[in-house]
Amino acid sequence: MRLRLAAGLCLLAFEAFGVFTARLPLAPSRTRTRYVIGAAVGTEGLTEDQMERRYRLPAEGVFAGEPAALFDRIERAEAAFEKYGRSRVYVRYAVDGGPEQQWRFPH
Amino acid sequence: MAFPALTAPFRVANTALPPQLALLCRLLALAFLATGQLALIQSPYLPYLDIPADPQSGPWFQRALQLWALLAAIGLLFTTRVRTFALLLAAAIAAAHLASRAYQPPGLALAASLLTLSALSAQNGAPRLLFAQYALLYMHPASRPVEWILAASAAAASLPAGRAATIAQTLAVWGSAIYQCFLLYETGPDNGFHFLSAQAGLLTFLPWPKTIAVFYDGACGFCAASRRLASRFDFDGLFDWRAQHSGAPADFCPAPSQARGSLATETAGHIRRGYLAWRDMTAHLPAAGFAAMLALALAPTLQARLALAAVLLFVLSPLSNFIGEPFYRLIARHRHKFLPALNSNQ
Repeated sequence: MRLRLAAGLCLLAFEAFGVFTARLPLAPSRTRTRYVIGAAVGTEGLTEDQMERRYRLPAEGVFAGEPAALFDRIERAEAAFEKYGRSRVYVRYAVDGGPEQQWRFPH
Repeated sequence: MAFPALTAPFRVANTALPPQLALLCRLLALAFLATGQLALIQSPYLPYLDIPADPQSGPWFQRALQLWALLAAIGLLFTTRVRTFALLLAAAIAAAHLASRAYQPPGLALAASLLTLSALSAQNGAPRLLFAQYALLYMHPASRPVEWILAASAAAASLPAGRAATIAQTLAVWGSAIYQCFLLYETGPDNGFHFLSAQAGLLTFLPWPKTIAVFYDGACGFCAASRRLASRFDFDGLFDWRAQHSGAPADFCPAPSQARGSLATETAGHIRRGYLAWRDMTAHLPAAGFAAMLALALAPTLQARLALAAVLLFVLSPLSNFIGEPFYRLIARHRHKFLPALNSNQ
């Protein structure tokens, strides 16, 4: 019983760390990020279909979450699919209807 | 040869977990399957922890996870090994969640955590680990004031049994149930599984009676037929049926004119009559919980899901007494008209 209690407390501590460092979303995000992605590998631009397959996201849309999570996903995809660092990604985005901002990869 | 571990999904007694936690785990398994989470596992696939290291083997990894989750959900629904299969389903969800950065549907982390903490809970005593989970659910960097209140009430539910703990539990249950509806409306249909998980998790706060004494009019054919019908869904033998005037406490047994065609229950010292008694019985039938969860999970639109949730909350709340009680009396008054239909069901 004590072992189970200790395991449960460890899980809750792990969750608390994840929640307060924004790495583990327990509750649904209320933030909406409207975005448009443009990407190229070397000198060749990617089509919308290619971007959707690469990032598992429409090239243009509304992301249910913080923009950091969107950028993280793009960075992960580039790390997985483009080993030679030739890709260039450009994202225009607006958080919750706020002013438009830009993000580039690599930074 | 019968396999002793197999059981009906509606049976929640006689497992390693308290009945309300066994029901919670089974409702989560049902919601997981009914909302199509199985097909969505690791879809889209995008490595997070580089598991598997070779992206080409992603589909095999995905199929293996889907099979793992399916078997765990079936085991959770149809066997008495609730603790084991709850851990297995939670592990499958956690593995899928951690292995793919793209696969993070809202609610999965909560469902996996509720399953794990239920499995780690003791057979007796208040499930304080789950109370803490609810407090944590409402604590995050962007918490609203109402969420801090809900977190505090969920944490206060862990207080020793008494008036303060009861008030905290009531606030946590009703506050969470209503707030989760609002959150679903605010964040949209993609958060349906989170909504279902959070609502099912509220069972944590509800003490489950060992038995409910049901007093009915023994001379009434409609009541006897109702008893036979209700017994069909009472898989755990929760209801202890007693014909009135045959052992009911003197201060409890209504006068003959009131007793005619009426129903009363006694649950942990609380006596309820008429509509309240009917609601008390229905709320403790796992089959009713399964029906409600299935209806919520299969609701075709966000509006339909919210409307259904609103109706269920209304029926379970004291607000419905004003309509429910007269309706119950109306049915009781015209019970002889329903008797043939009930008898034809036997």
